[in-house]
Amino acid sequence: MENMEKMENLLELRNVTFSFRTYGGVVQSVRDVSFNIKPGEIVGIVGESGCGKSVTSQCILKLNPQPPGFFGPDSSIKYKGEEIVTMSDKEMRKIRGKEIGFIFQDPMTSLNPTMKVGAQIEEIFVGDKSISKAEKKRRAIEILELVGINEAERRYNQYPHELSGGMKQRVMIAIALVGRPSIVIADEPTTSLDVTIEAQILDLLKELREKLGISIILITHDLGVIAKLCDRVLVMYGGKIIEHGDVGEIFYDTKHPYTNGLLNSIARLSSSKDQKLTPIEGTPPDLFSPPKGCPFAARCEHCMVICKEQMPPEYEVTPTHKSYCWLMHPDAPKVDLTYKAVKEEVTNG
Amino acid sequence: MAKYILKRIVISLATLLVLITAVFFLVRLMPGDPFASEKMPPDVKANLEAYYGLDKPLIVQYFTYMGQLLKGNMGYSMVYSNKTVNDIIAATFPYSADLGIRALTFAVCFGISLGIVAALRRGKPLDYGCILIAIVGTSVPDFIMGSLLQYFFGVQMKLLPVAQYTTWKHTILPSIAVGFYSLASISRYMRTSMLEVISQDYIKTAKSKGISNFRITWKHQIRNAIMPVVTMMGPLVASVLTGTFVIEAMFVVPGMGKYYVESISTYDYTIVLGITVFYGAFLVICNTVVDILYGFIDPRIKIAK
Repeated sequence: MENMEKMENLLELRNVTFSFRTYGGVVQSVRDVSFNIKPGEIVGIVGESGCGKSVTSQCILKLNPQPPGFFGPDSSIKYKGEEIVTMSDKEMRKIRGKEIGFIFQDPMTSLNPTMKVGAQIEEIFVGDKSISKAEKKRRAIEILELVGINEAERRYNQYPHELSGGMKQRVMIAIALVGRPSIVIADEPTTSLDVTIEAQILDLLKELREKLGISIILITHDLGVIAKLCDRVLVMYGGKIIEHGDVGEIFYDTKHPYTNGLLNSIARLSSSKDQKLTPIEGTPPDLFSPPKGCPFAARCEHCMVICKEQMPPEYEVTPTHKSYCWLMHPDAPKVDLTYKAVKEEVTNG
Repeated sequence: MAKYILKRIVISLATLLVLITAVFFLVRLMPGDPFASEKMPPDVKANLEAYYGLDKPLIVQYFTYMGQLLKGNMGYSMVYSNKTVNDIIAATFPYSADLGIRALTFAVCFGISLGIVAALRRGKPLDYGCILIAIVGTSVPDFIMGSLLQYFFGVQMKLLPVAQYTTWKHTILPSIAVGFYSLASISRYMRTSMLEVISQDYIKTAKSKGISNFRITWKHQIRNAIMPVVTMMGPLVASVLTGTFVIEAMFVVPGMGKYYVESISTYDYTIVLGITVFYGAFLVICNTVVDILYGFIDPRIKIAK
């Protein structure tokens, strides 16, 4: 643990705020988000739709259209010590694909339908005169084999519509990896795939981390995926990080009612047929005018007066586990937020 | 691919057969006939009808006509004595085709470029300029466009000739007049298609690879946006070709339009039929070519034989 702390951060987000100007006003999609990514670790970002996890991840490569999107004044994203927020588009192009790769959610629509698979992979090297044409092809085929595509040579010359969904997602992963990046951001990489393929893709990501030593930022709304793959988790709600820590800490020692709510709403094989899932009542906050207090207050069963008035500060549970919840305050009532079934399940399997 | 092409050709031939049959009988349903004149003595009229075979039952005439058509013979004009329909088409079609091709080239080149520019400069003055052109192009009829062009560029500025069809200078104004409507619709279509493609996920994928904006626009956006415009080309050729009739008359172009329009009022059955069949065949060929071409542009169609 001591060693981990001292390791240099590959990526550092500090007070990142990202908003969109729309006809209806300014949407504050990401509000004051800070986190670090260390070499070789898999960090999960979890939260429901519209909580800002995708926008946060796309901020890192500045893929959100600007305008209408814009960074808040204190936002800082440092990759290997270099500031990304103020970087020109030309400098960004050296980061995109080469330093940080991106895997998108829907492989069906994320590949260009009129371009051969091989050409789409090689496109990373466009303009790089130090690599010969043959070498580019060799690398593309090598990466196709690495992500588990059989007959790579033949697939290289095929169009996306000739591949299955799982294979398309493997091609997407190949595109993200071929430039040999040190971080790969995977934005819900398995949401649009069926369960067997999902398991294969997750195994592949884990395997690639071991083989290539890359860091992975995994965005998902599925805590099961997090448990399977990640070292650390950031829980986002209403554009903010509300709890983060090592996977074990989040599952065994939950310190935020929202995280607890997410765990409660997962279907389990062990649960009986007439046992109903517990949904979180209500809807996420309106990010046109986010509440001044805790964003989850309106839906929280443990809500106190202060929750609606003031955003809770960061409370340290352990040096690696932080929560932003007034329940952590010494004067607050003691509530055990850990979900029991999770404890059993994690221990059993 | 061969099977796909063969299938297209069979469908085209069937379309033509229906077209010819329908026109053959419809023309005869018009009240009156080519030789209806008060001064015409009945026996002369009977002679003429016998000469053109009009005295035989309609169904016999139909099969005679189809038989001759298979040999490539479309018969004699009933108004212009001693001229065959084949002669008339051979003499006038090159002019119509020339005008059509020029107009189409003008429309496609400028239409696609304007659409691209408008989409890339969305919401900027250049975009509004392109939209204005598109609105003017689709709402101003071609004969008004033709006379405006004649007035400003011919009469006022004296830059270009307003009639005849001899040198390339003579071809400019009629080509613009014919092509302007198509230019407008192509540019609108291209603009919409471009904007649709820019919000596609694969554009974001392309961006995440760190390639230049120019390459994203060229290789990913335009390449995909142009496909629906290609589909539009078949019907467009139709509108450009039929659109030449009025403009041909305005600019004194010795094309086919004059004969086509006249033949209907003079009951010149053979010419009406001949030119319809000719245009029909031409259009069916255009559409088939576009269909086959589409298979080359969009890789997804090649597979679906």
